Amino acid sequence: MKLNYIVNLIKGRICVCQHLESIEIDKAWAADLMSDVLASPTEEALLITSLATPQIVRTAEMVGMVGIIIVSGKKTDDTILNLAEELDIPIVSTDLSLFETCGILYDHGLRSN
Amino acid sequence: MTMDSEVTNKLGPDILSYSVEKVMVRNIPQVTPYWQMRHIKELMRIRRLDGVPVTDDEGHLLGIISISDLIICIENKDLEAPVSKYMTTPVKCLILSKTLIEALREMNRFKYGRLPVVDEEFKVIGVVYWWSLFAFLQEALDTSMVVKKTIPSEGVISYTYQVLGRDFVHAGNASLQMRKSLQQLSIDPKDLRRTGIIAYEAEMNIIIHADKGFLQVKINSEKIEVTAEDKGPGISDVSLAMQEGFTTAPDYIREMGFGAGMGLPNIKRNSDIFQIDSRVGVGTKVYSVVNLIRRLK
Amino acid sequence: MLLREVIDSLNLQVISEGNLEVEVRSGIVSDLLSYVMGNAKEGDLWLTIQTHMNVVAVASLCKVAAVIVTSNLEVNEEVIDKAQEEGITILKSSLPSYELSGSLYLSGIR
Ligand SMILES: Nc1ncnc2c1ncn2[C@@H]1O[C@H](COP(=O)(O)OP(=O)(O)OP(=O)(O)O)[C@@H](O)[C@H]1O
Ligand SMILES: [Mg+2]
Repeated sequence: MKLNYIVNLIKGRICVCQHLESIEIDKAWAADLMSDVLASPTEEALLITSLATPQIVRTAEMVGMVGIIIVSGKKTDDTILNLAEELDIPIVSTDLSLFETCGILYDHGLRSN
Repeated sequence: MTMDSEVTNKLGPDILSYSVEKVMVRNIPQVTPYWQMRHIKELMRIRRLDGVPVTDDEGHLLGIISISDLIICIENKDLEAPVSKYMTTPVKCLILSKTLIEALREMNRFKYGRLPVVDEEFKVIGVVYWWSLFAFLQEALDTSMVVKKTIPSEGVISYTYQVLGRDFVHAGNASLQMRKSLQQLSIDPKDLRRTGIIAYEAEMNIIIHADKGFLQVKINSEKIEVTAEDKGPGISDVSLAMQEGFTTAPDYIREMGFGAGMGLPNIKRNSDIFQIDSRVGVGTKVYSVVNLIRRLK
Repeated sequence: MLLREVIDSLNLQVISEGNLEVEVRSGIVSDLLSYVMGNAKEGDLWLTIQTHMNVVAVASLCKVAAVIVTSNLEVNEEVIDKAQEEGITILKSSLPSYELSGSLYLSGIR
């Protein structure tokens, strides 16, 4: 599933991304706690979270997540956007809740593993 | 090794007491009052400067010509005019002996984007621009984590990073830097990931639970060793702390996304060898080994 | 859908039993207690990996239908006891939060 397709599904806004169409997503992981992100069994997954902090970007980078969706319309400030840009991790934000976002993507066939 | 002697924080209290010389831009052309404004326009455009000091023939500071002076001149369609007509005098400047923090204060107080730096004879030797100050601070912040790279013995590389308790702004930076360094070696992504998780969790534990410490990785052709050692409260019941879900992190930390009580179990799960050693009131040391899937050359 | 039906259809393990005959309204996935306090509605299923004592307090405050601890995480005895005392249902799933919310969503809980 292409990232831009996902953006459409969840009515997302692209905050940081250089090449949206070229990013292929085939796994997803939802987490609010860093340790849970780090415990994700899958590399190259899409992280769905309600935390908009620089730590979440660093954590995602540590385990090689391919993108981050920030849910519930959380504000993304410059610190996080600059960091994501520097690390080349796309960030998409949506007003949907974590539950709805997971539901919709799962419904469209995206799994965790 | 002792932490205090080996680990020197580049962005410690000293940094702001460096001389302004550290951040000043030197090779600014010497502009004199009888230059024409159209030369200034070109100079600013080409060098992307938003202001330059004006001096007499000997280089003594007379004034400054800034982008706003230039705008007025352009509005007047007066580009043939001499610099003397538009320059701002008198001008605030810095003496070479001033420190970074003094420069910062002056710039902030008067909202100046630039300050000429002069020597005892009032001769201009450079300019501190807000962006040059900025670049220096940012660079210092970025590198403050990389404390040391050493080659302790043949075929071994070691990186050490300082970690400060409660420093949530930089939380994760040390591990990220470490990951960047390791990425340059041809380490299998699975090993890189495991090492990253270990380092990150250990770093976060120091930040959340301890006062200060360091994170160290040692790499040889067969394995990566990660050591995280801190001065802090220590752990009174290690086997309890190792249980998934056990945490003493306060609520505000949990709201930042930490404190699931999964860190230590995560570290253990990703390590081939795992040791934890903690003394109450002294500190904690976590040691992990990741055996490499692919030997390094 | 009744909580009991959700438990059966999604293979959830009951570790603290409150009222299983309540109507499930919707789902909320969050590990941040403040978010849950601000956003959980009565009758929601709350999916989390938090197993902290505070979870029971928040669950009771928000009157959620049940707390579902995902990723097969262990919940310690004290927390279970407290939940029982408060009449809070705690369920456990081996699925991670993402997969379980997806399954709930597919089963019609939106
Ligand atoms: N370096 C340390 N110094 C003092 N106490 C520590 C240290 N590391 C861990 N602990 C203690 O062990 C507990 C469990 O640590 P662990 O890393 O497993 O979870 P956590 O840090 O609380 O949460 P998480 O890692 O999921 O964010 C901590 O809550 C703390 O009480
Ligand atoms: Mg931890």
